[in-house]
Amino acid sequence: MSKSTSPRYSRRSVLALGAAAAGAIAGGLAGCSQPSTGSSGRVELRFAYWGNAVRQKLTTQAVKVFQQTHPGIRVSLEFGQIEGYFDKLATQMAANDAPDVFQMNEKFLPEYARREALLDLKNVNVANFTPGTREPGVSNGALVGINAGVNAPTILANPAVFRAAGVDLPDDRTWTWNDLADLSARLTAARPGTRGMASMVAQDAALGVYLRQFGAALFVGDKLGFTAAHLASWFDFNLGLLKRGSVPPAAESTEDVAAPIGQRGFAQQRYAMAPDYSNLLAVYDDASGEEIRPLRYPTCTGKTGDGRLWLRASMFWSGSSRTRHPAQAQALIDFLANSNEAGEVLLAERGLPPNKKVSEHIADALPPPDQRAVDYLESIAPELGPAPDPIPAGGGELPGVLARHASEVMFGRLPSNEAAQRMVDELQANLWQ
Amino acid sequence: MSAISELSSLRRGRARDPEEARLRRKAGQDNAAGYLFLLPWLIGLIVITIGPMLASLYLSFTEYSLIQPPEWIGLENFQRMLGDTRLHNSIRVTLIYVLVGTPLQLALALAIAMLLDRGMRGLAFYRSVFYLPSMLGGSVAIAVLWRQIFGTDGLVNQFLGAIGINSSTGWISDPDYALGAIILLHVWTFGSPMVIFLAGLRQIPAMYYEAAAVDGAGRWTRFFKITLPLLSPIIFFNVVLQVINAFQSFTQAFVVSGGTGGPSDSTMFFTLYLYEMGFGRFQMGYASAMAWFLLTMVAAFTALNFFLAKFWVFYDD
Repeated sequence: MSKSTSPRYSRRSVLALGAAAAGAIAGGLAGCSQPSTGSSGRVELRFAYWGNAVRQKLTTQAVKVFQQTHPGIRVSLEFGQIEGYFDKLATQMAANDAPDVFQMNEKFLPEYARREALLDLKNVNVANFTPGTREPGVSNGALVGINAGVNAPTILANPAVFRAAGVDLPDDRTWTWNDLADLSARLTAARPGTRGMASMVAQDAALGVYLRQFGAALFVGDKLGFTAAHLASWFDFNLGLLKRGSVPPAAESTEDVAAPIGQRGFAQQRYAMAPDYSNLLAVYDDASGEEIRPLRYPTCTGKTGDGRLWLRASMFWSGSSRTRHPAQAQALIDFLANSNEAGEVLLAERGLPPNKKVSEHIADALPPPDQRAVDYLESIAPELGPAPDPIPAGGGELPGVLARHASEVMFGRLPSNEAAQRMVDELQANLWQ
Repeated sequence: MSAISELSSLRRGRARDPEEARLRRKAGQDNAAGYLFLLPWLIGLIVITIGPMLASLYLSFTEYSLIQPPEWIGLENFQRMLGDTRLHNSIRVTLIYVLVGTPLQLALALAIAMLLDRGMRGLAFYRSVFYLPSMLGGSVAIAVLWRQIFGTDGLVNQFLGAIGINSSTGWISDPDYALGAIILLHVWTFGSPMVIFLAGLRQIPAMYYEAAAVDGAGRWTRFFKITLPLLSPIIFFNVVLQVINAFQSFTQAFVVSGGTGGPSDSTMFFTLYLYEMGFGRFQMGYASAMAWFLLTMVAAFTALNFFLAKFWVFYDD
């Protein structure tokens, strides 16, 4: 790619951008933005995040505590739904008007990091983090995202649906992928209107578990960590689930994945199991009115240690590299991640706090479903595989690309090996060269 | 000839007498007043439309991630479009939508307009009722509703079940049908062309029909020999407008597919792909190039429409 930056073009660029009244895009015009230090010398931070009403309440409360303990800093919160959140953030970045601190997700973290938009959070203390919980926030060697809540991939099971079908819950220490297929088919057959499990073919975490058990991975370094053959075997396994009725027909699954959590088949007790993340237990408990059980993913061997699960970050806290108050921005993130006061307020709404001391401090205060999630994380802790490499720039597209090719296979429009090859080609083209 | 063209013709050439010179000065003042009244709109046009358009023209020759300053890469974005198979698919999807959706929508609009043109009682009411979908159809709420109606256990399948056809087709979630469901949504928003047709039908003098009836022309003959030719300028107007509209449609596919253009890119409109590239993948330069390609495509179709108009549009005067 040519990287010519002759002065002629840069002058023209400034002119053109001026016409668009978007002069702030050019770095040289950064002086246009307002200094945010108030007359009293107090620093004002902007903190953007997405979520639901519960998260809004908790976050507002936590920030209030922060302001009490840090009288020199005022934090103004910018809350929104996840829809449109990243459009807004990108636009604010372009206008050099990004919030100082913002919530980040795993898809966009490497994209922003690669473009030097994220603050290096070297002053945030991660010494007390549980092993494996710091790594997801590292990009290009720098810590640019602080894990806001730990979760792990799991297969959620609804005991009530199992009971109604007269089928016992599996022993998740010894079950294999074939057991999963058999069990789901039996559940489907046992009771009309019940499905063994929700489709998992387009779940990137499920694919990640499967690949790791075959010695592959989603990503290794800056590259794809699997081949088309790996992927084809994943597609074939899922085609098997489809043919045996273990999972719903392709059209129903497509709708189910796109629906809000409360309207999904698993939440409405139509499916006995669903692949998802452990921190969503509370949401599913709430939607289904049942005590949902988190199960380990099955293995190929039936041996407990071969699951090769890992700890994830449900989301991150990041700072803008162009913030005028890097110290204060990091102080806020540090407070959210490491203080008992913040932990007491936020609890495990974003997932379990990665800081061991905080998570122990709040352990007894957690509501029952979160407690169950924590128990799950603790029980798999000794069996975890190595922390996966962070998603490289361009790799955040994987879930979307997977969904597209998986539906080609599930609707029978492409044979699995051809879809797998196309998907690998597309992913490789997306990765930042 | 309108007053404005009369005045502007006066401005050509030199004034022959004081009276004409006076008229010209007056015309100049009139124009100044005109521009003054136009100013609010003009400022909007320049700041909100032309400015960003020029900026996007520049950006289309750059690599621009929104986060870092744009970098000139010449024609690379346009070259990349040649090899981008998802882009080609999105053009195909958009063309199907335009070429199938627009004629169906206009045919329905004309049919309903003719139905309403019989001087029935309560016309205003019916007109409003039929216009309603146009007001709603572009909205997010209706697109969400559409997703429910055409879902695997939605109204359509329940209705089919009631008449004995067992269907579990996901009209939105199956890549073979999803585009069809969105085209249907588009056809359903036939209100604005219908209102224009209705106005056009009102302009056709009743005496033509009477004379034709006297000569023994049947219904279809009257439709093809009188209604269609006399309505052709209106049809042309609607075709041009609706084709441009259809090319630009975004909301319906965005909401129905949950922003993905799925399943399997079957509803990946050009505009949707452009949006994904610009905001989802930080390739605003490429997205700008696509926007300009879309503009060219729309312009080409409009030009083609105007060219073809010579062969079928009939002006009465």
